[in-house]
Amino acid sequence: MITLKGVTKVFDNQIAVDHLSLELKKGELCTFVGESGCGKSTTLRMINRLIEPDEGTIEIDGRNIFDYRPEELRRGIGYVVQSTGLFPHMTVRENISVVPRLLKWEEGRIMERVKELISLVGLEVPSYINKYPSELSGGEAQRIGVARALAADPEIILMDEPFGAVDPLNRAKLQNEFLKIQKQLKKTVIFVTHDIEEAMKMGDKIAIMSKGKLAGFGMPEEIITSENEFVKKFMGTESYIKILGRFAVEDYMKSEIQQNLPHSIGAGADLRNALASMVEYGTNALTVFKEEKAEGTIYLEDIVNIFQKGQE
Amino acid sequence: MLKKQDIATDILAMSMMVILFLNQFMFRSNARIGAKEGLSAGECLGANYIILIIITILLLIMVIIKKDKENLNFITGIIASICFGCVILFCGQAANVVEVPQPNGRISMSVGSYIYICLAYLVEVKCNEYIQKKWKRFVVVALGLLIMVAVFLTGQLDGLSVMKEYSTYQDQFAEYFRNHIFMSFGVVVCGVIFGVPLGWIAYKYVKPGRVINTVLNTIESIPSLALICVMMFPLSWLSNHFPVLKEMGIAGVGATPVFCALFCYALFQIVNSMYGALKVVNKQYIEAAKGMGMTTFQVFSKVELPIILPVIISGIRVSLTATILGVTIGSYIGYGGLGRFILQGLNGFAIDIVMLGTIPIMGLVFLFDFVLKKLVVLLEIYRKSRGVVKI
Repeated sequence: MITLKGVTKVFDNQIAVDHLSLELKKGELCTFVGESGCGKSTTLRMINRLIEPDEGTIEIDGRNIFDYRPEELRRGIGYVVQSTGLFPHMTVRENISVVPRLLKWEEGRIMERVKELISLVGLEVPSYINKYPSELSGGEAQRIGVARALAADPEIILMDEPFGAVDPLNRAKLQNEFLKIQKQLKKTVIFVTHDIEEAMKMGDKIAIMSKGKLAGFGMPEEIITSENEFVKKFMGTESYIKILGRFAVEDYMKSEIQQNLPHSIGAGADLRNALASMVEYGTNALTVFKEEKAEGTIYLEDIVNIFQKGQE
Repeated sequence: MLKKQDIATDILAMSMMVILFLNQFMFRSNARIGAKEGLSAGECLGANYIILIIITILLLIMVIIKKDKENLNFITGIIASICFGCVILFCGQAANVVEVPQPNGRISMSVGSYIYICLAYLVEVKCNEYIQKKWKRFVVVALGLLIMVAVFLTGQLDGLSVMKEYSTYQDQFAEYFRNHIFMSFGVVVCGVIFGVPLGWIAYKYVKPGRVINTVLNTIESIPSLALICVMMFPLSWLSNHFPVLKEMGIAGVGATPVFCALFCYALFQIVNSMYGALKVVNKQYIEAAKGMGMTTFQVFSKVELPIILPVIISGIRVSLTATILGVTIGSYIGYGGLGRFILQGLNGFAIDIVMLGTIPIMGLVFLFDFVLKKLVVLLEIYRKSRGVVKI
């Protein structure tokens, strides 16, 4: 879907992106992660041509992005930024309608789409449609930012630290909601973040960047076992705990039910939550509940063995 | 206790009181041009003098006891407004009280009454600072103006020298007034037409921007009278060498140099406010707008312009005010604006003719200042209501 070949960008003699090559498949969510100044945002912005690369090619669906007019290209790519970038003089409705308007949709269709998107991002249509960005909380504004990016139903969405300015509680909520939306819509998403935890939670693939180069690229499960020094350092020693956030309890539970277990966990929780609960209660097994009904049991043993490295 | 005293207003009200006992409240002269004899308020107002003293004392008392309470401030403001209106009415009626020895003699408002009017207005403004409700603030200011207009329309002021001058110069007044307004608006409209794109260019392109800013800044630093005079030379040269231009009415004196000079100032104001406003528009909006696929023009028309519009209108307001004042100076080189009366009056030491030019200029400045300020508010309301949809 998106192919970068030897992409290079130099700012005032400083190399921001250094011969970067990368391929993303349709429907994948790829997180770009790295320290600040590693070139991840620059790479993102080269894809919608807000920055022109000095060398290399970028292709979308096999077509060079330089064959498009920049405006035409950008209208087909959703773009979410950290500061939301919602226009202060427009209501939520007008903000969401910007790209459909540019694409000259008819008003009725735009209105329908606006309503659909507001509810998709988990807000009530009547109470939000006429609000101004200044009347929204940070989390709400970012939801609308996502809705605006999805407005014209683009195949590709670029997100530049979208949840960076939101408090941790709301961030987790936004992340979960976005994952839910993504499961439904299957867009090709590039998600820039400096938070490795977020990167591991959100990404189907993770691209770890260092000094403009790709230090590691692959599924989180692959990245975590990488031998690259920078990747190891960047992931930190807790990476194996962090990655547990990717796995749902229901996928790893045993279907047997033990009657005498005092503690339980919801089926929708992730293994990281499960591990935390076990540590909290000093137990090595939890009953898994789904909709008030005991479904199975999750064991500490199964959690610690998901990579089965020890058995090799 | 002392902190809540509005000392500034106390002083204003006391000064109003003092003025009523000083000379030069109004003056009388035996002929249009000639020696003036100052009169104190007591001498010229007759029975009205007592009334004016009473309401001024009332105002003084209210000012002292009002503190920061909204309702008391409202009452005080209204009394100040009544003072404002009454003093104009009473000055008008003074023509019946004061005996003018000769048929050509005049009675006219002098420094004292003008200062009294200003002070009353300032008290209104100070009281309004403590009033939250918009309609109350409006009533305070409007009441005095309403009395003034009523007094004017009912002919109570006809005895005053200014009005006598007005009836003498009625035709000229209409012409000068029209000229003044046409010139002011012509200049500002052209300023906007050229200034808005120029401001945008100055913002968008660094090098031309520097040139534009330097040129306009230099022009701005030339005093307006000098600039108008300097304009005369190239313009008269042009008009002498190109008969076409002469036929078009372009000449070294009169309207052309005034227009050119004031146009430069207006351009400076508008380009500057445009440039400054664009510069402070948060870059994230432009970035987002571009990222969504807006063309450069769309970024300007859909994002930047709506955000900076209030600033632009303020810039236009300032330049319109400055231009209205500037046109006055144009009379020095023969432009027939209201400044003609000021020149004429100054030459003959006839203060009333000066006032005949000054008062309408002040009125115009206040009026358009007010109108454009309101325009910003109305635009905001319009924009907000336009964005709202019913579900």
